[in-house]
Amino acid sequence: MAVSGLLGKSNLDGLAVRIEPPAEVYDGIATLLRVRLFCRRRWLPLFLLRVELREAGTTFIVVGRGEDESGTVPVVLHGRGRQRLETVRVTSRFPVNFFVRSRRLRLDCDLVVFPAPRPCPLDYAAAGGRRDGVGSAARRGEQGEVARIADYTGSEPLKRVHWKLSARHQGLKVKELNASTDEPVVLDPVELPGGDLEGRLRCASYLVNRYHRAGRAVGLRLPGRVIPPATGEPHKLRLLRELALYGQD
Amino acid sequence: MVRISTLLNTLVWVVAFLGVAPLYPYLGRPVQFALPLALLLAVAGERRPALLLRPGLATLLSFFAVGLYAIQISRSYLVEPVINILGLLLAVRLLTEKSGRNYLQLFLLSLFALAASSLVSLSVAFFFFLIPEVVAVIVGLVLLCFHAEDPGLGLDRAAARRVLGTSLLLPAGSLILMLFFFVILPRTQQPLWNFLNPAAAAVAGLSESVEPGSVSNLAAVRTPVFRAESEELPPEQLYWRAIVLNRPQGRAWVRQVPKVAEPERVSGGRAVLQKIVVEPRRERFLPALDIPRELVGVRARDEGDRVFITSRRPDQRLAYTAVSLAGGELRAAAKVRPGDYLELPAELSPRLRAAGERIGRTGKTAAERIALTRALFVELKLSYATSDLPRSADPLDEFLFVGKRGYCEYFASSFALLLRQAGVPARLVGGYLGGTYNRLGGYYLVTDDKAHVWVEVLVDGSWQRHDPSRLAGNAGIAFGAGRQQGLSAVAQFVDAIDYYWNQSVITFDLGSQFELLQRGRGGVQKLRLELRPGRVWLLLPGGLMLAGAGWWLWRWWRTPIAGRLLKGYRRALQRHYGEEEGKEGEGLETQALRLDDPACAEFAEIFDGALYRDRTLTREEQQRLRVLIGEVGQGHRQEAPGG
Repeated sequence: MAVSGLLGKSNLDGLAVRIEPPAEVYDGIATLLRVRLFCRRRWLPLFLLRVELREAGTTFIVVGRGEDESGTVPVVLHGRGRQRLETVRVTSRFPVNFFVRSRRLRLDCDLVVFPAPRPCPLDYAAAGGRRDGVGSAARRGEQGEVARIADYTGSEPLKRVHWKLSARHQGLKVKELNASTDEPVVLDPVELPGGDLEGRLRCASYLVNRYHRAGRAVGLRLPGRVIPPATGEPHKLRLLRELALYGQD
Repeated sequence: MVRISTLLNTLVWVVAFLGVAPLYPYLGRPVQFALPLALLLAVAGERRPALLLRPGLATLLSFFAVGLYAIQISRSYLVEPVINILGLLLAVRLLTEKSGRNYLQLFLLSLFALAASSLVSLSVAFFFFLIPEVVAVIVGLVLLCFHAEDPGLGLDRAAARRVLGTSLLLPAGSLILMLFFFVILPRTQQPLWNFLNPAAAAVAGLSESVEPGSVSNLAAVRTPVFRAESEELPPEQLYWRAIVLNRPQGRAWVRQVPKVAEPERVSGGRAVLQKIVVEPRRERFLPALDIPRELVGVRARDEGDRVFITSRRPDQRLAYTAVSLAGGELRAAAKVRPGDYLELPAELSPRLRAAGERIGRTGKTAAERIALTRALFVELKLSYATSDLPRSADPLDEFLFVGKRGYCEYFASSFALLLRQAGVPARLVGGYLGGTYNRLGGYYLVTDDKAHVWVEVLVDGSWQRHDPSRLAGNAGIAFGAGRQQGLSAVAQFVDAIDYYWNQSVITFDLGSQFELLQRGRGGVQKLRLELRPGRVWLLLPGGLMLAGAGWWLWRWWRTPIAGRLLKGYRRALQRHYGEEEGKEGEGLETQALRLDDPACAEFAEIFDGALYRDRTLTREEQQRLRVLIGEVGQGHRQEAPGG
């Protein structure tokens, strides 16, 4: 008992935990947070450690001395905006399954939780509430969403051939895509549907994601300033971040 | 990939084998049959799980096993049914599908079985089973911990090596602690379970009377009687004295406790120290090298004629130290009446009587009469034998004048009677002659076949030892090569291990603990005296440890109470909130507010209250702060969802 107590106690020493959150964390939606466990012990490895974060956890079986391992914890964060994961609970039943020892470790992991996307009609997606974004969505292009299926004319690139459909028909079929250079959209959360501010922000979050996928440039009208429409992953994240912090700064 | 369950199963088989093996010879036939079968099936069941029992059936079988032997239990018959029940339960468990709980039960049953083996035997084999058993069970417990996490868990070879390597630290630590506790824990003077099989180990040895003619063949049994740790001595000095028979009664010699209050004194000679461990026996005479001066470490009655009788139960192993004076002089008690040692049996053969009288007439002094008697023995051409012994109505007459064959009892009895008839006080001394010296252990092993009887004759107020058996025509053969027959190197080694086991474990008692303590104290004193300047480095590790402990104590003592309390508080914070210090520039109070913990808030209030007023904490405050440290984290309100 004495020896197992000492060994169990030392099993919770010399460790460090770091959280590596994904780029996008949405309010109320389960997210897999990557937990990295570092073994800073000189002599012994770490065994059977469970890292618990907000009622969920992941178990590390063995972490060699001086090494690190990572696992994922499904976490649901509530409320948009800045959030801080202050501590994490580390438990272990090692070496003998009679007692479970636990320890809290400081994390200080700051993250920004985006408003959860709530589907809303694309028609509203226009600056100032004008419905001018709709018509232009039908223009053909190279990188947008699939607009319709057409017959192969011999001029389309091979990557546009819809092989599955072609197999079922006589001739080759190709995908006709929307133009990626659709007319840019500037979203104003105030003008969007969704009831209260939070509902509108969720709609905005949905639309930002939707337009980003469609390859359409999207911007944001915020109180006192406008983020001009653009495409690309960093831009999307910037918009979502602005939505998350809307009215909080 | 190594599956944890495979490792665990293998360990379970090893543990079960080690637990049962020492108990196996004492189990009933059905259990002796069931256990190996169960083990085989369990091993086969690893590949073909269909061979294993379902839990329900296993429980039923367990009930049956307990019931079968439980009905046999009585106050006088307890151990056997219990060990059989243990064996059967273990067999059933081996055959059952394994869950985490079943593994634990198996470990426990195997340990019980091993422990139960010490009820029936205190052999050194126990030790050799105990060590691997402890190692295997503890490693098994660690693996069980991984099994509890996920029964299907597999580890790659490197991870498995790490797990096994680290889990070996546990038994290593436990065994060191076991050794430590074995030495210091208090223990009883009596084995706890001794009443269950009283005197089962006692064997008949040296008899308390000598009666030549009672047997026709003397069987030589080589059962150990005692072991005496001492220097190696010349063979002619190896007379181990146990009992003095001073009174002829019919054809036998018996012991009558000397009436003289004053004991016989022993002087001169060379002092020989012996550490004697006597095997469990029925008689209570304590052997020691002739002539014993005193016995230490055992409660024994000195009967005056250098015979010591223990009052302890003779059916347990006994250890004591004897101081003897080899070649010393045994002075008879001043008030002894020589007539006490001249008494003759009522019926004595006429030829023996006549021979004694003739010696008495011819020899003028005691020394002359002894010389005449010895001459007569040589002249009679007697031979030492242990078979075809005289068994007539007067065996001594037949021995001296007809068959002329006999063993020590014949020689000693007739020698003493002839001397008494001639008017020289004489008595018989029973004990052992010789013994095998074990150079490995530095002790004599004396077995039953070394039992011997010789004669003591009173000459000028001193008792002289005479061994008439040496006057036999074949004494050279009988006492030379035959008696000194040594043990082979292997037998010596095995006996030495057995001896040390008994010496250091079985007979280790309160007395030995004190002795160890005193020896330790003596050792330290000696060290101080004998330490040469060149050897100072030997003290370095101990010195460093002492210095470390001293530094820690000094630091603890130097830290003011407030500092110690703050340290404890920070440790509690670390435990519950994962933080020690507040954020930069954050005082105790701000930190408490942020943590939203009433215990922290109160702690900060009291602590800062004293700190800012530059006064020391009162006793009540100190107590309250200690309580609050214990309460940190308990009254903490759950964090409100962020946002």
